[in-house]
Amino acid sequence: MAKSQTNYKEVFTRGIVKENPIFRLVLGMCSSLAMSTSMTSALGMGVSVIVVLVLSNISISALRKVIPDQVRIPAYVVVIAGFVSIVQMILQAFVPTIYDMLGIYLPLIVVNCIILGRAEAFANKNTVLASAVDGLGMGLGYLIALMSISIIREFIGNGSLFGVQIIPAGSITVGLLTAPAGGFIVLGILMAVWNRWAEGKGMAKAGLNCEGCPSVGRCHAIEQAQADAKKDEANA
Amino acid sequence: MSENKSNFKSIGQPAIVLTVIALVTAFLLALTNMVTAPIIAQQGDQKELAARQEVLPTAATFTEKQGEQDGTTFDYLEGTDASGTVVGYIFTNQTPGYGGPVIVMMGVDTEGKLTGVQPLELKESPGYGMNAQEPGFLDQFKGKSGEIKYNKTAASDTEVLAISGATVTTAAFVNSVNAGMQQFATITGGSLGADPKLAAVPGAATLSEPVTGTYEGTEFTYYHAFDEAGTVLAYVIEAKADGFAVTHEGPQMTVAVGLDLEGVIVGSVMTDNKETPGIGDKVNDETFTQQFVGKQGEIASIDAISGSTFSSKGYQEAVNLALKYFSAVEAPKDPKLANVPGSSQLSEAMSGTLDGAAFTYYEAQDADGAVVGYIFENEAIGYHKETPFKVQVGVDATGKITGTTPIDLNETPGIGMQVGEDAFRQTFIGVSGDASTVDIISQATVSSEAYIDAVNLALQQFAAVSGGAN
Repeated sequence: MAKSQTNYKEVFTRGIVKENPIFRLVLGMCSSLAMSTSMTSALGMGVSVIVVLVLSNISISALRKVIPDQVRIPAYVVVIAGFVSIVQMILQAFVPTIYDMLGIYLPLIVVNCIILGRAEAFANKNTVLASAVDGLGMGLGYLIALMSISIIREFIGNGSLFGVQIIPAGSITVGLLTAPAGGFIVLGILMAVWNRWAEGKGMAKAGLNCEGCPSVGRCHAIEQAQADAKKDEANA
Repeated sequence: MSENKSNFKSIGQPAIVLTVIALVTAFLLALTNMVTAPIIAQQGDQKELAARQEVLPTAATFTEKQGEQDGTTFDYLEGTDASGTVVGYIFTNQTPGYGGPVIVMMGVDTEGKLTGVQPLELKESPGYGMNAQEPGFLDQFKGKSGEIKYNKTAASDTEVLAISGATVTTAAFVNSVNAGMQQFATITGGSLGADPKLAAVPGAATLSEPVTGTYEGTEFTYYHAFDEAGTVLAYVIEAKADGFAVTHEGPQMTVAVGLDLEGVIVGSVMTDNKETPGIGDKVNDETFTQQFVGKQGEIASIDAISGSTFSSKGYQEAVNLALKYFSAVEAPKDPKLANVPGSSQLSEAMSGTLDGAAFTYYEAQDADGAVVGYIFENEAIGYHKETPFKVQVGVDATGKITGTTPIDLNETPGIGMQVGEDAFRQTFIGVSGDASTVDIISQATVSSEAYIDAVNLALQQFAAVSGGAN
């Protein structure tokens, strides 16, 4: 895999449509539902995730030969937690409004599946540059997903965009959309749209089995299963 | 590969690598913290100062103070302007809301008017409860004083307009503000905002100091309720039971039950706010409390409030407890007797003359009817000339002062109000003839001297009374 020429464009765009972390991989749901009530908080959350994701992908990729396999998960968590804490301190010091808005969801980036998922599925077996590009693409995918949920929730739910009132709240707005239930409704509809789009581009149909998983190509478990199957065949 | 080498590879190496990664990460964190910590601290201070000035705009500096209410202490801030004059106070209180605690910071000026309210923490539903942070809601509180209520249709002098669709949040917010109002009343001598316990006795104007009674080994607190004229109307007995809000600290719902002298319920009121706003606190609605009025002995069944079964049951339990406690209460003494230790009854009002002016006094008698002292009451014009206060003085048969009490004291909080504190009042005990030698309170010369003059007048009246007797 490392020998072949990395297709950076493919790596970059993958996170946006085909393997969009929210709409296709359904990762990081908690923060994306909570932080998509307003576009400002969605932007803050998205950018924070991009920063942490790119930095952690770079470091984990750079350390991939050093980190022993047995302790890779604790090592990833330490690295990710470190970056999250740094981002948190910087936000609190320089952009306190965003810090207040993100609240508990900022430290929770540590356990965001997207970040740990990329470390495990990509960064630990690809070059630093490819991992950085992957982190950027995945992060952008997360940001785009968050922005598209929040634009609908904020405008239809509250009549404003980025906190600027466009139509008076309560006139023709649907307050339900700002409530958690509304978040699920919008997410479900957008997920359907995204899947349709991805399928139109010839991607695998999303399903609940391994074959339907968009990351099937780079999944450890599948590789392992295939290797085992080969071994069994050879033994037989 | 030797056994040792493989052990190192599988156990030692991973541990070392992980330790190094953790150390490097910790170092980077420490570095970032060094840069950001001072900025964050400075921001916190600025934010707090901004919030304080928002709620009490006339103050320039704030001093942290502590007050005490019903045995628990609370922190508050005293705001002073550039010239050092106290311009108001800031209180911060919280009540459970719909999504979390509703923490409200509020400023009150020296007259008890709200100068501003700000939510410090609000985790309510966006579009509903979160509207409690909008100026349209917050500005309604400005200028209001005393206990604040909310109304779902229109605002008034004492009511704010509730946030539509967010009654729970509104109730929590208003409760937080009222808690601060209560604290304000406490630190300024309790003249503002009626004691909530008074609601248990219709027609009552004042309550005695708390009295501790014992019923089957359990201590409880009760009060004597007086009407405007100072006649004892009823007892107010406090009893606790488990409401809906159950904590490990034991029963949390306190009900004050008003019982007339025969032990018949005249009214009752829940005096804390731990029940769910808008639901459990409906036990204070008249339709519910009226069920108990006129009853005595033990109350077997009541109509519970729908949706508030736990609160209703807890309330009933507390009322029954209070009815039991009634057997252990003691008949009240006239509050005037507090100034003559050892006395238990008061004579009819008697009249004397001093320099041609008539005055009223009382004889304080012990249980056998023997006179143990005299009680005089004189007006004192303090710093606030429009609101004179009275000083009650107890003098024993030898002419020594046995106690002094100010009545209707309404001097400057924190300054002249100090004459009402024990430290000053007790300096008179044992003095006879002339009390002018008593140390005045620094910065409260006018209030102190007015108080001393009233005491001296009482001593002269005593001389006139006892001289006449001789």
